[in-house]
Amino acid sequence: MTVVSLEEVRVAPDGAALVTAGISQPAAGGPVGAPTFVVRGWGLGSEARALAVEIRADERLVRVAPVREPTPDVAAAHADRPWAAHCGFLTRVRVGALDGAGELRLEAVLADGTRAAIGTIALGEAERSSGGWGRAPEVPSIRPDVERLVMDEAERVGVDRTGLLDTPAVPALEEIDLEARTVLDLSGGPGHVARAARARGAALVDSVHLDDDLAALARLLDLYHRTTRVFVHDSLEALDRTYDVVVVLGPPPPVAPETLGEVVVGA
Amino acid sequence: MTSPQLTADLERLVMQALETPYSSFSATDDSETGNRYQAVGLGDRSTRGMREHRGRFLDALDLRGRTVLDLGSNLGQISREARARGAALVDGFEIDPYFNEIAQLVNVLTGTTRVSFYERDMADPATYGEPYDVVLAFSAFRFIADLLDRLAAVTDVMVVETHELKGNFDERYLVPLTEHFPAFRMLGESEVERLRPGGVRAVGVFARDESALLGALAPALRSGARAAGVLAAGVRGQRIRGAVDELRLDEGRLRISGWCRDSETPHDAVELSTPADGPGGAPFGTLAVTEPAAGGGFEVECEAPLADSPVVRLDVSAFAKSNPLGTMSAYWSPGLEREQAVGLTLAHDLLEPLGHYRALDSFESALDLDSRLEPFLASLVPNARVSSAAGDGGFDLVTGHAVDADEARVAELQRITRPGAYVALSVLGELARRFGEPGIVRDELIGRCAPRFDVMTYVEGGVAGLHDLIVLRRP
Repeated sequence: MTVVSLEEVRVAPDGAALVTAGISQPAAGGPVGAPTFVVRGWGLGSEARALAVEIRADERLVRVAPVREPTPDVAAAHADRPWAAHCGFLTRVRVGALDGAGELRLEAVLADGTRAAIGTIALGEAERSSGGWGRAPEVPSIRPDVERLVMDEAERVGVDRTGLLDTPAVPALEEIDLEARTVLDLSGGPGHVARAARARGAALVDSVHLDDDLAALARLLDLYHRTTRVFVHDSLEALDRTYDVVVVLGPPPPVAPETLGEVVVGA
Repeated sequence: MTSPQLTADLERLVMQALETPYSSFSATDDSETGNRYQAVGLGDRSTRGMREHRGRFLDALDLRGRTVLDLGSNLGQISREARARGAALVDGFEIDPYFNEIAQLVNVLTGTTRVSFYERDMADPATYGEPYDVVLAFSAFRFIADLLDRLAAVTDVMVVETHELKGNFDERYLVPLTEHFPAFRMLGESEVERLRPGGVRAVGVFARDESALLGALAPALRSGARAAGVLAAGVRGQRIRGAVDELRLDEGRLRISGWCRDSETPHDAVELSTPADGPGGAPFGTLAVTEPAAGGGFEVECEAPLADSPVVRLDVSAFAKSNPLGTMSAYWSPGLEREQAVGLTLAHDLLEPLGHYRALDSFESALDLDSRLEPFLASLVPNARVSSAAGDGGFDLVTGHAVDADEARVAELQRITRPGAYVALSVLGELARRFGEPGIVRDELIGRCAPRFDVMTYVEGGVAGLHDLIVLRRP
């Protein structure tokens, strides 16, 4: 089946009428794998404010995008321009509206009624594989970035990075029935014990880390492991419930046991 | 407390994840979900998403100490907003792993606790087992429509946002939901995605019984057995006053002039848009943007490559520093004089919002309280016998513009309508009051109607640039 492909995105703003302009989306390359595609960019008028961007397929008007999206980068670079903070545009062009056109042309409509070129998107034809519209087969993931953050943070706070991303066994928990129990974990560290308790069926695990750096590291590792219902707190005062079980493994807990009376039920 | 460096890194990662082009399209209805679908709160600021913030609906609930399940949690914004309103524990079910990663990343960045996200298919009956006090199903109904018995086994209260309403509220939503959750209140309407103009969705609370319903509502809404609902109120952005003086659509060009004003904030842009189809058969959306003249006047002449239609709706929206202040609509049909065009606009302003709930061609017997509407009712409610006198009643539709909705009128409306009937009235209300003119207080009118009718929606403004709209349904 033949579909539209985005061959080239060419930014060529009218330098007299526009201080700066661009097309940030779409990028050139490949067929459009959906009924619509996003067109996004910015246009900052020099003497008159840009109000809208007209998108024409060859000469036919197919879309008008208001210019009002926030553009903090443009605002930072052109602080003297009152319209710079919201000179972005964002719209969605329907593939079915293109009707064989070879080019999309983007023009800014200025407040004085004039128009100023921003750029063009060259269109072509491509073959689309069968299977209908659908998500691109590759789902992105932030996990590599989170792994990098974990390692950077561990180095910064002086935690040994060896095996940090693993999920070590916690033998002491194997003797305790945690199924459907609520757990308060005062073991500290990077949160291995809390995650292990949850993995053993705990309904909810709150852990308290009085060390801000280790609390942050534990949160990152929970994110890395996509842990659910394990919540890291900075102090006992942040706790707002009682627990079935309190777990303290490793160094002495950050609180005296007698202070736990109010938060523990049936330990 | 996270270090400034880590906070900056996390924020950068959130923005990078949100900027990554990623969308999925439903194979059934072409609807899109993506990592720009929800606006995401990041502490003191928010990203922009295709959907408006829907926290205003959560404000109508009492979530304090409750366990909450958020179906189709997307980037987790509604889950976090439920937690921010006191929920003890929030679980979000979302089938997309990337959305879940971003949602949890935002939790870390914002220091959110007691909110978790699970990679779960909400359309799978096996997904449901654990009980929750409240289940939120915002824009998720098509995945759970066949599972309401399963959901009734795990919760007493469901908050449901419909999909875009197309005259199918009663049969698609109300009938199946009230089979399992018979007590309900409507909370108001939300917009369809901001890149797809024209449609609305409705949000309602459905509960096992009246007691569970009242318990789910915010304390301020609990007084009186039925004195609640539509507190979130209305389609966002109808709150400008104005008028269209000239409107012509001829051979692909449009000319329109008039004025509009917000009661407090001066606007710096007027946008003209339409839900009418353009090239490719989809709503065209924005046609032009202009700057207002002194006093809020506007005048636009622009291309309008719209498909042929006997009636075209134009929406005039005012913006201040890129923020929407409000919208008013005007309708065009070939050959109409200005006074007739006003009648056309009144008829559509009253009936189109009602038509979201029940198909207009399903009405059989209508009462028209305003003779100006009569020429246009035949086409809008084509299968209804239209009367101008109440007589013995038995109507399944009543329309009225600039109505004095006092106690006696509301009681009379109940007398002359049959169960399941709809009533669409415009009144001088909140919008008039904003401009210092006499008008009824919205909650007073809702309170007056609620003992006799389900209040389906209340739109501040929305009729002829001045009047408020209330849509009622006879239980």
